[in-house]
Amino acid sequence: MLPFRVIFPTALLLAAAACSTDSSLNPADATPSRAFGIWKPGAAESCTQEQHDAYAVVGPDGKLYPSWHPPTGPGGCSFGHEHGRDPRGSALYDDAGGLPFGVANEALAIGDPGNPRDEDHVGHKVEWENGIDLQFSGPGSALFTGKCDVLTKLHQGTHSKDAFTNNLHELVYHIECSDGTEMHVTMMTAIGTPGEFVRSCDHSVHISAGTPTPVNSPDGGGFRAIPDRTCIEQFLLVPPGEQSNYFQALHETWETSNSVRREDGHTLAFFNPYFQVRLPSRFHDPAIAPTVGRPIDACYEVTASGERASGGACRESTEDGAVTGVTFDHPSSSFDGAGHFVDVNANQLSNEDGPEVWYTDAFGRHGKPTSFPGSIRQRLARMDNQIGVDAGGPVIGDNRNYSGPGVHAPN
Amino acid sequence: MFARLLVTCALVGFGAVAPSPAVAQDATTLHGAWFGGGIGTASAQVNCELCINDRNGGLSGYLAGGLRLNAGLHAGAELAGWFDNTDDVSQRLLLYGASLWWHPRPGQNWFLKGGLGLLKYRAATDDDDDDPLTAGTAAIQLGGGYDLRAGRKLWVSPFANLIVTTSGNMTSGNTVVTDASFSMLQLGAGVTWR
Repeated sequence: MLPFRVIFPTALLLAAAACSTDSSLNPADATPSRAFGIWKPGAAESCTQEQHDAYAVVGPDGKLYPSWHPPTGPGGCSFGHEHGRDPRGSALYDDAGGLPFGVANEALAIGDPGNPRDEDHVGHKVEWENGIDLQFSGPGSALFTGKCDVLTKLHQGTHSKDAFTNNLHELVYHIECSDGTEMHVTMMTAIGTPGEFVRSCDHSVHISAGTPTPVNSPDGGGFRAIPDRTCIEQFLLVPPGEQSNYFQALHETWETSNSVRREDGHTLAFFNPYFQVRLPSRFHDPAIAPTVGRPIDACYEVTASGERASGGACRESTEDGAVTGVTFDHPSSSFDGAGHFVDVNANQLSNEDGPEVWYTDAFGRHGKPTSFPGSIRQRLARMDNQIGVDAGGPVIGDNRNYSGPGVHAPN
Repeated sequence: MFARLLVTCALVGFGAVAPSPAVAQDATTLHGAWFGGGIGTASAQVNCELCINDRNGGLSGYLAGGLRLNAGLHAGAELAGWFDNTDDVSQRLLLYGASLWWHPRPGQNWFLKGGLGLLKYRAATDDDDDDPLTAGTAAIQLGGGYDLRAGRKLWVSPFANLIVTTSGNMTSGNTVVTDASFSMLQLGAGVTWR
């Protein structure tokens, strides 16, 4: 069940067989999914594409998907990117079926062939924790307790202009709690409004950034808070003697709001994890084509009034300015988006009448007990239990940084 | 601690004014209306899948009144409560009930009690932004006590009651915690006028 490496391309399908979640599937017959094989090594990467593509699993639809791999491959070669925490330690790894990347994108392309949503490979970020304590606020803090295992994956690209306009991102969410709450959901989550994002240092400011892909992207709850040039000018470029505030200047929060719904609109499950990234490698700058500013470039900036970046990641990346010309995709830049973590938040079920298995479209809608073209299999415990009374999941992954040898933007 | 002190003071006080045991025959020959109240401590527990399930001590008391149905049987309506404040969360249980007090052996002062009612639960903080947590479930009450005569129409009665409820929903805003139940073990002393 564990993804493993094979060096020779001819062994690739055997590796996939070992990763398959369905032993009846013949990996030789497994059709590559849209997400499979799209990563190509850049000049800085020492691993081959074949080495990379050996980390593959057969998904629930019988197609071959990429999956988690470490930042380094055979012999210590570098892939240049990371996917977060190794999911094999999660208590829910078996439920995740090897954690294929791109199942929801694939389903969307089948369900709505004219409006696909493909995402790059490096943006898939995994986070998990076993035995987390749910946190209750208000009166629930004195009354309730609960432990959960959580395994989640969001495609959260923080290196390109993609998320300026595009609100559709693949989300995989597995949770199992001591009270019986259990969800195993894969979907395209609509995060906020398509075509716009909110300014990370002032969430009240909505910035229109262009036309989304696909153009019929639905509105979603929550928002994508992304830094823009204003945040850089206010919090990174500071007067002499002051320290830059990197949290305000360069911190992304994608607050999701997800539901799995029955055909009749009834909400079977609701969950709203927030996905945060420290020090992304991009910010929105409409003055630059194609609107992507690079924090490392801002490290070298000095404004007319003498304001400049001070301390923190700029100092680390440039050795306090001694090293010039560090590019956004150089491994020595601290702005690689590898510091990502998740707020678990609420988990609510309204599925007492069952069944446990539902098939929904790519957006978690139109749930039916039987599969249909472009559907995704979702598993929900048969129960009504809105864990809540302001239940908050704890933050998971906050104490970790996934930057490893050779990791650099785009990551 | 405060509740224990109250109970101790109440018992000492009642003992001072009512040093002599009541004559049971007197207790069962009076007729007409009665009313009373009591104070003490109670250990309460909220049970649910998510609940910590700790028992929590707190101040407790009751007010009751009714009629004598016959020589050994009182019937009445009752309001009983439990109050606690721990970690900035105030909790209370209120029982709106109807009960029977039965002296099974004329000539002896002990009595049994049984009743039905509606138990209302509420937990809240001082923060206006926090929705209170509330529930209301059917409850049954069983208990007993001992009558001590303290005056011509005044009785002092140490008592113990156990109140348990059926399962119901606890709600807070739009959130529901299902299959919640409550229990309360009440110890104290009451005063009855009849």
